[in-house]
Amino acid sequence: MSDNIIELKNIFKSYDGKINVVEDINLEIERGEFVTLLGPSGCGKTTTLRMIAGFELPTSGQILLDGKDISVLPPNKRPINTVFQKYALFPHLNIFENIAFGLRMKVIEEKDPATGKVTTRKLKDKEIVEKVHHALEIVDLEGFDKRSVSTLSGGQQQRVAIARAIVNEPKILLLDEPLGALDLKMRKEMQIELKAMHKELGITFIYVTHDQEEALTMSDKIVVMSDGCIQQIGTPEDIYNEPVNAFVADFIGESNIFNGRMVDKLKVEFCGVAFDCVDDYPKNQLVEVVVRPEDIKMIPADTAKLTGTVTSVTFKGVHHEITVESGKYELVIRSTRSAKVGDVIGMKIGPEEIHVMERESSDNILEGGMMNSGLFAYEGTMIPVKMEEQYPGSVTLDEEMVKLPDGREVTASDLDMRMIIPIDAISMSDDPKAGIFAGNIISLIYKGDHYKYVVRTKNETDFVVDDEFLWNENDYVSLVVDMKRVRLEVMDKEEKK
Amino acid sequence: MKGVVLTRKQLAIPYAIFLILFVALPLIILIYYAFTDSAGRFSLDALLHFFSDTNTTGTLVYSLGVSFVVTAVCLLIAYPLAYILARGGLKNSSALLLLFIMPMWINFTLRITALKEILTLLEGNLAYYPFLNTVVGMTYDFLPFMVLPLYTSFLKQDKDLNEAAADLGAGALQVFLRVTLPLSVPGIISGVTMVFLPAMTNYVVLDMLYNSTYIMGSLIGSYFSAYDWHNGSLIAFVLLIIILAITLVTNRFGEEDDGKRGGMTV
Repeated sequence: MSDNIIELKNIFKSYDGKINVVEDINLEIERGEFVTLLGPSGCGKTTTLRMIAGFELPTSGQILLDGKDISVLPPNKRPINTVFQKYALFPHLNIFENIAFGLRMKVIEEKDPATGKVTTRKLKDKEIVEKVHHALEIVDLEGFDKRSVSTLSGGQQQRVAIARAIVNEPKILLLDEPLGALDLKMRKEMQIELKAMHKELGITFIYVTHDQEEALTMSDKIVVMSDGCIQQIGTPEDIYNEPVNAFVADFIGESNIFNGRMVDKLKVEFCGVAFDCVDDYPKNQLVEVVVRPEDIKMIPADTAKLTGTVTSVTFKGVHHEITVESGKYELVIRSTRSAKVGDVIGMKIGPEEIHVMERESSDNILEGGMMNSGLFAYEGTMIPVKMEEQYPGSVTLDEEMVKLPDGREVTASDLDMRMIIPIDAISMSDDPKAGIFAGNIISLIYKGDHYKYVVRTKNETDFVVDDEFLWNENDYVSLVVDMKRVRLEVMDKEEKK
Repeated sequence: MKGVVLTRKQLAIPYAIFLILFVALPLIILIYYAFTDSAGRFSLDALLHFFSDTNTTGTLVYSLGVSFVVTAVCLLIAYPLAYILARGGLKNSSALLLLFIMPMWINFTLRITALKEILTLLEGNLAYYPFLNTVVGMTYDFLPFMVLPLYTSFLKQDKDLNEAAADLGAGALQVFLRVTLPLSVPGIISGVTMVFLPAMTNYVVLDMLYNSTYIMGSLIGSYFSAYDWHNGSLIAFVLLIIILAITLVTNRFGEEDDGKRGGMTV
């Protein structure tokens, strides 16, 4: 049986009952693990951490510590300590008092061996001095006791913040982007030190970061989050080599992502070429393919299935980053060998290096209802439709009445309908009045020959859109829908429930 | 066009002129009058008179008492008020703050006149409660000066610090006593300085409330209106020394308490 120190069960968090910042988080963390919550800003990782610390209460769901529900326990009652992003050291106390703060709050229980009576007491000054000095030793700041916070460098303040937390011997140490404010060199050093500290102390670490490299370096387990949901949980190797979807592949490390199709058993086609692969999907299944830049080998063009022209070469120290154009696709290669711009090269990708993932349905589906026989309503947006066109077999009788393909004549406004908009029926425009819907781009992934965008409208509907041009994250775009390609379906009563 | 580049020294000239005209020169005149007699010779008469006259020493003690009580009352009202305004998470806290600051925009004599009417309505004859009226009048007048610095000091406090304290095991009361209160000391000091000192001299409040009692300001006023520049100047000089002493003491107290954080100037 696994030894879970903390479990998050169906955690939801929303502010003012509106949008879910965190949506149905389920997470089990084993004793002594180094777990990293990884994701872009606003993905809910910090909120999750704050709920574990007790600064925020989950809207629903349970947090179990050693099997006991601590969901609503205030932070001072939890055996959990936090290292804050901006350190949050007390400016009015010196280093010693900062670290001793938690110890002075502590009430310990003592059992008299003779009588068996349990008494409580505060820690003695001598014990506090000992513990503080030990903590200072761990973070390499011996002799800093009397210094004031403002005389320390960022790195030193960071160490004090860590000492202040670990001196309390918490069951879990939470670290909220603790290295974010440090420069690169310092950050690398602290990463190694934190990892060593984790080994030495044996405490469970839960670490929050948006830096994928940091997560890969330090963690036993990575939890990739996006948009309030967990995308994937796994070891750094798993996450890197076997990403479950394009988001994870794109977020972790550099990758080439393509749309593809299974053309045979263990044969996948992308970039216009069929490759052998090791992932088994049914024939004709639509897939997404991930190939890491270091897994593409350069070979002479005349021996290769896939060839292309080098369009740029960048020297990156250990390797060269080479961009290759092959037909309408663009590939990035990392190699210790260089190439010249304009060279025609061949590319070889081994079956093991091709990671194939099922492609989610690429239709945008809106569930709404009819206002009358010519107007589909979705969350306050009215979309003019023609029954005959969008719902083959049906006939518009008058403004109110519709004849369905099965012959029934019904009042249109009684119908609950589903509108299906294929991904390629939508295009983006920067004229806010050009389209039916408008929203902000919340994510984009490059797919070799086009970008896949997710556009979120004001009332939180997400549209998936393909576009060959590059837009920026957060751009406000309107979505132009080609109505000829839109279909309507009647929803069953049961489905609606 | 050739730009005119001013050195730092040149830029400081207007301020230096201002300082000499309105701070240094008056001070010199004040000291000159305090230590000379009517013939213009050096004299300690005024100084001796100050400490031998029971009227002046009594007034000094009474003024200190008034200042102390007014400051204490202001602090007692302003501290929780500023805390709630800054931290209470009230929806319209800035509008509420304005409510307490706005009296400062209204002419001072007008405010006190209005207060006088209210007090007369409540007390009948104002002469019966001179001390109470003084305290009420001054508290009303000086409260914003106490609220503002406290409010800013609460706003300036990093909320992370409260969370950090709670995270380290402190309950709500401990968080307040060990973090919020010590960090608000600079605010308390500037508030106290801004109330305590004016409260010793602002005799206009007393006069307007038909007050028969005297504070230091009234003494200076009465000497000056009798063209006795020497005794008046000396009292002003003594007050200056008291103010200096208090400032030095509070500053040291503040420094000890908030380490080398700085940022607080009185």
